[in-house]
Amino acid sequence: MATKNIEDKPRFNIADAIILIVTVLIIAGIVLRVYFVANEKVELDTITAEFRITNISSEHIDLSAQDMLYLSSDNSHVGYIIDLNVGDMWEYAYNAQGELVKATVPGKSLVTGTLALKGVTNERGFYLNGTMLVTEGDEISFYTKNREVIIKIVKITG
Amino acid sequence: MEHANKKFRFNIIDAFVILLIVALILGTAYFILMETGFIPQDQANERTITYTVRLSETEEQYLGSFAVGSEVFNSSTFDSLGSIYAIEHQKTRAISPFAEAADGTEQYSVRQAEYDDKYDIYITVQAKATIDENGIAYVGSQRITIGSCVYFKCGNFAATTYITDFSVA
Repeated sequence: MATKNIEDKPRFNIADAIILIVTVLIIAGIVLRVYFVANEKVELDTITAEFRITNISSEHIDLSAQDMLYLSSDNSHVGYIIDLNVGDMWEYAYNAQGELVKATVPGKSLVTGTLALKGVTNERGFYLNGTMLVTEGDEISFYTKNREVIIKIVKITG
Repeated sequence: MEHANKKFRFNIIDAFVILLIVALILGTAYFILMETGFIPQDQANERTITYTVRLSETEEQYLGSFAVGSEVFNSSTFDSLGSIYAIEHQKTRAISPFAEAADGTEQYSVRQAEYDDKYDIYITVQAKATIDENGIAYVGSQRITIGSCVYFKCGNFAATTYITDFSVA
């Protein structure tokens, strides 16, 4: 009686081809996505805005013109300080006669000035760094090399 | 009688799957080792930094919660923030809604008063910091700039503090 040894020789069939192609496509897709996201460059404009910082400690202002500005939320570089002025911090308080008067706050200062901010301007407004809508009155946390502060955008001037 | 000998052969699909699995394992291992700090970060730009945090309006009973040499941690991540180098405190000054004029003038300033039982504590910490390409110092993931918030923990005491000063050696 002949014993038949059947050796099943594995063959590269259509199912294998499909698996291979799908896997290569997935890997290629991931690589391309990462590559394009990493190299995406959006054209950014530079606008100027007047700013105000209130209640800052007079001893620790540590801000200067030309300081680079970074967004605290995502550490992106968004502009720089064009100029700044340091003055007394004022608040309303009652004098001895019970009248409301403007009074300076010892140990605190008011900083005003102008910022240069990078972003995109469209019909909806100005998007800081192309992602965050900024309007007049917004308070945003920025930091420089030495200082982290909350800055109020008083006016977007152009 | 037929005996079917199915001899296993290693084909290209098997090689592919094995490569994928090995890549996944290596990638996961590398990620875990980086996160746990087993693979050390670049120490070329590591410097000693001294920074001061202020604990505002702290009750008097907590003045003894800190000692020079104690280690300080981030109460949110439990990362080390350094060790205490110096401690100072002063009574917290409150701003009142009343103003007083300087003698003979109409220049008013807001009156301030001290709390009897609340203190502003200034704790100076020394740590190893890395300086990034923008010149900004970090102790671990904690950015060190004046005004930065630090979730401070020392022993059983924890508080939200703010950096008031720093210097890099």
